[in-house]
Amino acid sequence: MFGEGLVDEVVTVTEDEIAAAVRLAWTRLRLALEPTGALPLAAHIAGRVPKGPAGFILSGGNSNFETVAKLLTS
Amino acid sequence: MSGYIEEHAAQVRRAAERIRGHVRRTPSLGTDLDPHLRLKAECFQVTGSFKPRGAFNALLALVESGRRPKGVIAVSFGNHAQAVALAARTVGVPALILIPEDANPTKVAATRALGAEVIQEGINFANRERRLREVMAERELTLVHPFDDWDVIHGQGTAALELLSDDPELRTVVAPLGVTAAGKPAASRPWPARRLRLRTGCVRQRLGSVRSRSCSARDWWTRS
Repeated sequence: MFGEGLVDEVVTVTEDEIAAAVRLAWTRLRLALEPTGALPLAAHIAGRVPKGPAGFILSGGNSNFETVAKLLTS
Repeated sequence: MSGYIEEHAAQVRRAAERIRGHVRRTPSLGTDLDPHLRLKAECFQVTGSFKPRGAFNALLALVESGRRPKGVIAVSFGNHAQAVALAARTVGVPALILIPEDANPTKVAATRALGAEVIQEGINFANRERRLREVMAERELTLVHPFDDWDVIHGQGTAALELLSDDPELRTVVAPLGVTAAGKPAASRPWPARRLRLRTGCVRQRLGSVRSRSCSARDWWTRS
């Protein structure tokens, strides 16, 4: 049913890079992202996004607050 | 291939018309982190994720075509759950959501607050599909699948449509994704942005996706 080849590239990020992305989102951007929602920022921090104009879909913002509290204070 | 892309790009545009008034046009934010970045803040979307785009498109398309469901059902760890609950309440049909027992309690509470019936008891990652099919048959409900449904896909694609409309110069669109239960990347499904890219003529644009290295199967389904 679904077409293949619609994505040019899949990159992966580490848990530490995701944690850094959540901290960046909450502290610098004032965006209350849940960890999954911060994945594009994590790739940016890790230098895995190609140079040039890029749009990041940041979703969602329904955090487990215990998790985020740990990430923000670690 | 281009006919295929044109067809789906047109469907994404129809979805945008259909869901207008029910979802927000979230901002594409610039940032001092990097002048090249545009941040599509779907955390400001109703229910806090992009999911209502797909859920509303699916439900409204059913109603439009005269196939108004008796009720809808979904299985979700939380974001799709809230989206289906809101869309069902808006359309005026009951929603039943199966949410695994170990899901984020905040999302469960939010789903209930939107008027959906939630079943958590005995639901886990392994049995969720089987339980879904059983309950669906018992109660004659219509499934709103989190990704494997063209109406849902076209609805989700409207986020990329807005992003590209805000900045046609974008060369890369980056979306978060997890991994399907089968371990197969599923990025192309919720985000048919590359189809839009060809439509907009930005031929050098790329569509990339990011996933967590330790992303387990359960991470994928509906978290993003």
